[in-house]
Amino acid sequence: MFKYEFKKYMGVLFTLVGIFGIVYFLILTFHHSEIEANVRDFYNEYMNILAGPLNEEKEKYISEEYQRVNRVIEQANANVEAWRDYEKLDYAFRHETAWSMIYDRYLNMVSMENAGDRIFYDDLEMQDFFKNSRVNYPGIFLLAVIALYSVTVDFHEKRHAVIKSSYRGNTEYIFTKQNVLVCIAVFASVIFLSIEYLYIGISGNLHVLSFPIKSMTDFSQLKWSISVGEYIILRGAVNILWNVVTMLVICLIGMLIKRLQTGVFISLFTIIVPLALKEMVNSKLFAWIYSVNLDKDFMLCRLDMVTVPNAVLLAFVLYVINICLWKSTYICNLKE
Amino acid sequence: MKLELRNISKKYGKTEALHEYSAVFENGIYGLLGPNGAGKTTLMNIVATLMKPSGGEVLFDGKSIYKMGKEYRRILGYLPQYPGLYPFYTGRELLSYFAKLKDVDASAERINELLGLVHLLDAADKKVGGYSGGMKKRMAIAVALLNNPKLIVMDEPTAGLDPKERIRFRSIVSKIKYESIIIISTHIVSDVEHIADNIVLMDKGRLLEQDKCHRLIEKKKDCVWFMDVKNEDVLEYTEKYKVVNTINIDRDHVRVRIIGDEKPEEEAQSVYPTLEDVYMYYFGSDD
Repeated sequence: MFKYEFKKYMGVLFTLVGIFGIVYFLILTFHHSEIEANVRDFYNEYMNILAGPLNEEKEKYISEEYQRVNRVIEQANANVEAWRDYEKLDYAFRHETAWSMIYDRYLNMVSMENAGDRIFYDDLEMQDFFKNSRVNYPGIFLLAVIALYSVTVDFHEKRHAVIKSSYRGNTEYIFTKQNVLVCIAVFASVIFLSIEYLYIGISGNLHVLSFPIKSMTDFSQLKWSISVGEYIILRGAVNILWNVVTMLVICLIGMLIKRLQTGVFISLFTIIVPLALKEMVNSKLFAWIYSVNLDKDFMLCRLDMVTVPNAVLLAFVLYVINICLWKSTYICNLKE
Repeated sequence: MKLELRNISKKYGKTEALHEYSAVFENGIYGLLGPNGAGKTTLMNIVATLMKPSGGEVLFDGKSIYKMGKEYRRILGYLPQYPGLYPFYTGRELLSYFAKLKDVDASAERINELLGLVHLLDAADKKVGGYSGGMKKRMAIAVALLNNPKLIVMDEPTAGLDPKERIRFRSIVSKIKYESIIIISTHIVSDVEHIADNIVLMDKGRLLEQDKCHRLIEKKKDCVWFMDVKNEDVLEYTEKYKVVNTINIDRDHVRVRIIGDEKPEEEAQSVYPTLEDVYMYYFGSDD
């Protein structure tokens, strides 16, 4: 039955995974870094000096540079007229921006307990990657369409009537359907994870994978001492779990709505729009909606050890609700 | 085998689709006749376990179908009004899929046997999405028969079919020689006239009559009349009597077929009724 059930969505699955895989890759590839070129040049200069484990020599350099930059700022404040030259001001501003990034990172490092995590490396692309791929909208939309299609296809022309009047159509059928959806969620998640790795490889950041994730400013509060590569795998695993939950939520919506187009519309408003709003939480406009989990990085929240068991529990509850809903949809409750 | 419906009621809000409906079905073909809104589909859905009645019970061989659980579905074949087949499967794959769902033999021999029965062997490896309406209906019949059901429920099986396909359908049903109860719900009298052993007449959720087809006809043998009237008088007769048919016999005269318990006019002649006359007797009124 699994094979036949899978075949129902195979065409849609491969088409959509293909299309959305390409879209996702393009989004990653053509996303322009928020860091301007001049700032990048200054950052590179600093990184050429500081790259590698933090040592006394580098700490000395940072201390001297800190004083130097402060002196420049003090001079600027003392001689305002001189700083009316726009080019000079812009140059100083970019230099100061690059320095701030380096110095913030240094402050973060010295606060770390494990000296092994105190490593300077160029992580700008990776930070940018994590920020922009933390919620994979194309992936979620893909799963929404597949899950909705898989459920609504049974209600089209009242196909469910024949299924539900059959021996295995009332309970085993919905078990199989949900198992197929879970497998599709895993499959799609793995494809998207592979695309992320492909992107990292193409963007020349493979060497970063072995560095400790905590050395990145955004991840300094992470509880575990793991490498960037391990973090991506762990994040992928948690993503799979959440994608399974998403799939089951949309399966539920599909069973309630029964129509593909309406279901897509409703799913957008129940899953994707709230996620987008959550992403906009830093704008403060929407902060009040998400008074819980206002972590700076949404992925950190997702990796929380409390969140994972909750996701497992949620997936189980949804699984059971979907079975009950299918059994009670337009049917009498025969004793199984 | 015996399917017994005891005081079945079904309400949709304040609307009563079935009112304490009781009937007994034994081996044979039953034609369930009634106008739209008679409660036929509701009754079919209840028998097919797709709907739970508001009251009453359904017994199969003396056991409540709700206590039989999925064992009841093992002996059930259901053909819905809309075939509802998955277009992306070939005919053969579709039957294999439903064989899995019905937990029955999905061997090539069995599938070929069914495809042969419904005259779809030539199209067995084509996608169901490319089938005509009649072919889809025949495929749905094959799906319903997969598990050699003891009880076959067919809801408006000929709706939307052209005359050729309707004749083909009757031929297929006549070939089903299982020891089974077949209930065919329809409002097209000719579909069941020649194949049904028993006729069940329903209206407004209630059972009006249930009997052998010939007995129902026999009961109304003095209720059908014909008479020749002038063209200009046809309208008057139509308003006065229950006229079910008119045939032009020459330029000035029309032969009208009238249904009624009493002889309409002195010159009217009694004719032996058909099942269609019986249907019109019960359901012919505009009200």
